[in-house]
Amino acid sequence: MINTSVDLMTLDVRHWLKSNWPDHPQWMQGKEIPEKAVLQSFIAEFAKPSIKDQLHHHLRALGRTPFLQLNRAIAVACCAANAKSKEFVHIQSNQSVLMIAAVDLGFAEYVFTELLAEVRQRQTFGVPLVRNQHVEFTLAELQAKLFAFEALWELAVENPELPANLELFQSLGLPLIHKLVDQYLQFAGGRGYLKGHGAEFAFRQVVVG
Amino acid sequence: MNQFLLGDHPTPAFWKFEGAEQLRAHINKTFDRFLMPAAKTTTQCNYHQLIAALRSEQLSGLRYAKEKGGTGAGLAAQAMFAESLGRIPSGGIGMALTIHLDMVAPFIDQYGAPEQIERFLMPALRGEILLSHAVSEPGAGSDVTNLATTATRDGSGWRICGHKTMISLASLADVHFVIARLADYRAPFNMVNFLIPKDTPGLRLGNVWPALGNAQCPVSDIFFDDLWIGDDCRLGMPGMGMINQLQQFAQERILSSLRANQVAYQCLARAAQWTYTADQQLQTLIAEWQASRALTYKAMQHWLANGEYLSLSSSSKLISSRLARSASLFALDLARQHSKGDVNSLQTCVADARLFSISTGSDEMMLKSIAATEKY
Ligand SMILES: Cc1cc2nc3c(=O)[nH]c(=O)nc-3n(C[C@H](O)[C@H](O)[C@H](O)COP(=O)(O)OP(=O)(O)OC[C@H]3O[C@@H](n4cnc5c(N)ncnc54)[C@H](O)[C@@H]3O)c2cc1C
Repeated sequence: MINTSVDLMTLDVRHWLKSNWPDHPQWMQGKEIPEKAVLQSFIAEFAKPSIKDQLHHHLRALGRTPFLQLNRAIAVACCAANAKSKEFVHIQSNQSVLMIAAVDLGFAEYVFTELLAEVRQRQTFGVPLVRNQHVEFTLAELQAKLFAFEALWELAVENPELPANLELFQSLGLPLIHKLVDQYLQFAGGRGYLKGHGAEFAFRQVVVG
Repeated sequence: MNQFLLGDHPTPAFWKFEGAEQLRAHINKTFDRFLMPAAKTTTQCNYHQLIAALRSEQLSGLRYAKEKGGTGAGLAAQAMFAESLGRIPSGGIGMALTIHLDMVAPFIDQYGAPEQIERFLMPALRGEILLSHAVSEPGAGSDVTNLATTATRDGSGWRICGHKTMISLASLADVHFVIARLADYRAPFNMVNFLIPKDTPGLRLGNVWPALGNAQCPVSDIFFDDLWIGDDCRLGMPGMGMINQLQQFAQERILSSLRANQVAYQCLARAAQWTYTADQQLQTLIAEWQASRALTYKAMQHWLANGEYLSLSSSSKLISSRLARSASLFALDLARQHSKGDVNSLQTCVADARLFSISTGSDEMMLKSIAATEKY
């Protein structure tokens, strides 16, 4: 079971990953794992009196790493910190929704990038997988949905005074992430099913984790 | 639920200009007065009259400069017009006005010589002439670059031979925009565009094709039997026909998406009255509608800022077309299940909305375009 309660001030990401995924140390090597300092810079952002535009974008960037569950936990912790900050009370729930959505968006972008790299690099029947129309169209379809999710999120971030609806982002973001992860596993073939591959790790977190 | 659908949602920056809300109200009021009654009759509506009526309300040429017969209100205002067209319960009227005002007229505006502006664009905005857009051929629908209609230089003009198929408004239009192939030119610089008046000798119309929907926008074939046309009817440089056309397609897709999103919205607003708020399918469709709308606005924003919008425009066309289909079907199913609402009008809506995924670039062509633009 993954521990989603995170204290940002004390979080050591490597340690957190080790205790939550003890069987993945080999795969984690060479992956970008957010440093404690990065997380602390988020908290510093919260301390600033301006609206936290940058924070959203930082969270999205953080989301573009393989650790959806951890990053969501971090976003939740950011929301909790946000709640303590009185001057943002009126936009607080709005901001929380967008913070979690930022991480989801980043993760969707990460999976899409990995998926594209996979189908470009893998050759079958003498051509890269992506040269098959089914594969190409599946990717284009997912990318169009990703663009739509991104556009909705950006519009909401640009209009912080309006209510953002959590269900709305979840009913778009989660199915998109599921579909992306599922296709990633599918197009990665047998190798994607094996531990050590990003597709297996993504599927484990999102679908069966 | 209606409150949620209709309530506050972010307005894109390009619609925050002064007078935007008044303009929207004026467009809606004018459409209610002139387009709604036309949408509800079964007789063929008179587009010359409709466009003249829009003209009298300063709405037929929002995107065109005053000196070219427009109102100079700009593209953002035109986008508002395009979105509001989706309120009209007749896909045919929406499509006809889009072809006339947002597919052919922009071409004349952009590439027309001053005499062509005066001869074609200005009367078109006054409703004196109606324009059709003749690209598709029996062997060249999705694969537009494969078209077989030829244009050959002949004295001070051109000889045109070929056959265009499924051309909306062909039977009603006074002037046809036609794209043809040039023999000795290399692709993609091997096409040329023309504006061909309907009474030009050698032009022959096929019968109107009965169709699934879009009743107010009849389709027919057009044949060019060794037709001769003067060079004054050539639009743009010889060789640049397809390049110019592809650029215009990308822009038109954004306006078509605005309309498709609005069609979806109208269906969801109706469906919301017939089901409970937490209906999962409704919730999902609302979320998809919000996202589709945001994507279209982003594409529009990029177009207005002269930015990169090819992928956004194709994605937006794909997503909004699919949404218009699923939202209209959802509303129709609910209306049937609960014996509510006007099932007939929703059947029309489903049949009309189905065309979004086929014409002006099918869903599959949008997928191809995204893959090509993103260089998979
Ligand atoms: C009501 C109506 C109004 C129309 N109005 C106009 C008009 O005003 N002007 C005009 O020029 N045309 C018009 N058209 C024609 C329309 O643009 C074409 O129908 C459309 O471009 C598709 O071409 P096609 O019918 O030849 O289908 P095809 O190109 O034969 O395609 C058949 C199917 O195969 C898919 N397909 C094609 N190529 C590929 C590929 N490489 N990979 C995967 N799938 C592919 C297509 O998406 C489609 O689903 C109209 C059509 C209709 C039905």
